[in-house]
Amino acid sequence: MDREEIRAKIKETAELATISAVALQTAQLLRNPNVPVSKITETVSLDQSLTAKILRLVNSSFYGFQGRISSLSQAVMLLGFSTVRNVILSVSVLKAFSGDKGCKVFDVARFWEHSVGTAFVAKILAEHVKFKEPEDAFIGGLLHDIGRVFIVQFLRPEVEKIFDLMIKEDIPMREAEEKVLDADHAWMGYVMAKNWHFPPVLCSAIGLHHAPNGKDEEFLLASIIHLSDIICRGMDLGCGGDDFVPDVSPAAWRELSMSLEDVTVLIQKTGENLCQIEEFLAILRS
Amino acid sequence: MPKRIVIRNVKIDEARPGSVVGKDMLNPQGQMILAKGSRLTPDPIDRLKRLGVGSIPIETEEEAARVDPKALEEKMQRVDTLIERKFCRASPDNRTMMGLKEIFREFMKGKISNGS
Repeated sequence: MDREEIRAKIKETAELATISAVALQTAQLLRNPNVPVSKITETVSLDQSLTAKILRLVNSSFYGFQGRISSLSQAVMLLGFSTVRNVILSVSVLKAFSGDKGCKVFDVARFWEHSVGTAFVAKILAEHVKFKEPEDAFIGGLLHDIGRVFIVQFLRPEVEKIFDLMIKEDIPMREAEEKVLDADHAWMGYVMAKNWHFPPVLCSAIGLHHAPNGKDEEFLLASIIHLSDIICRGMDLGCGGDDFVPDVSPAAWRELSMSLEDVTVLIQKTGENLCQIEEFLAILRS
Repeated sequence: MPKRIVIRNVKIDEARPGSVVGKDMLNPQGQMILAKGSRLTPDPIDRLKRLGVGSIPIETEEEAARVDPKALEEKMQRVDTLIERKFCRASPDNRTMMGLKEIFREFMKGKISNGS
């Protein structure tokens, strides 16, 4: 299977199966910053269970409005469009990929724990480095490994080969992906994000989270996701596919002007928010 | 043995009548469903289930962890093993990675010392 075949398969399957129509429509709407809030809430309200879950999430301790938000439009008013958009995407993405029991090696529950953990860390890190859209960092963290969702769900028997190779050679999942598919999950995530018409800066952050480069916002967001993934792996929050903590890219480290003291502060902040992460996950899974 | 009060989220199916609610619980309209400090009875448990509440914050008394030095030592060793595994691919010359390794080790050991 070569890259063109993988690309075609992503086009054929990802749009249909990985993310709900409502989330897709929302993603489409978010391309236009001038779209009225009512348009969003109208779209989302079509899905009752999605609406209920969104209300539970925005009322969770994470957002600090415990029990006070009773409607989607109120949620948008109090939390802002980008936060509500993220909640919608989180719910939809997780819903699309929580029931696959077919794969023995890949622990879906721990995978999402890693993704949600990375999203939280990315938001805290984005605020720390004064990135102007911390909510984009959240969604970037949540979806950075979305390519793995595609691999595990749709690339059989390749996925079995990837896991065999990982175990036999004791290598990170990404190296095994490269060996078997000649492409990695980051690239596949990039193709998926493009198909969903995500903002370009988010697409590149997903595509470049193992080797941040580019310029300005693009570089900064990719660096944030890169380091958040590493912090999450170091803290042992969930499992992104293997046990290893990859090397920090020196370019990303410079781009973020990080020091080890900064990382200590981030870990502390994340540690204090662990119960929020658990609460967030529990609602998503319910 | 000293005791401390801990608030723990208990799944609705595992909540027992008589337990003390640890936090105010409000519905999305902002109305109080259960007040902090009240005792659970079977009736509100059923009501909460119907409202789709998944878990309830419950006060539990916890004995301060009795320190068993041997068990503690074993836990600390498990952290060391885990950290070595996580960082086995990093070069010992990479100062950032070696720095991170120690930060994560400290974080995990700190969690154990705090009893979580």
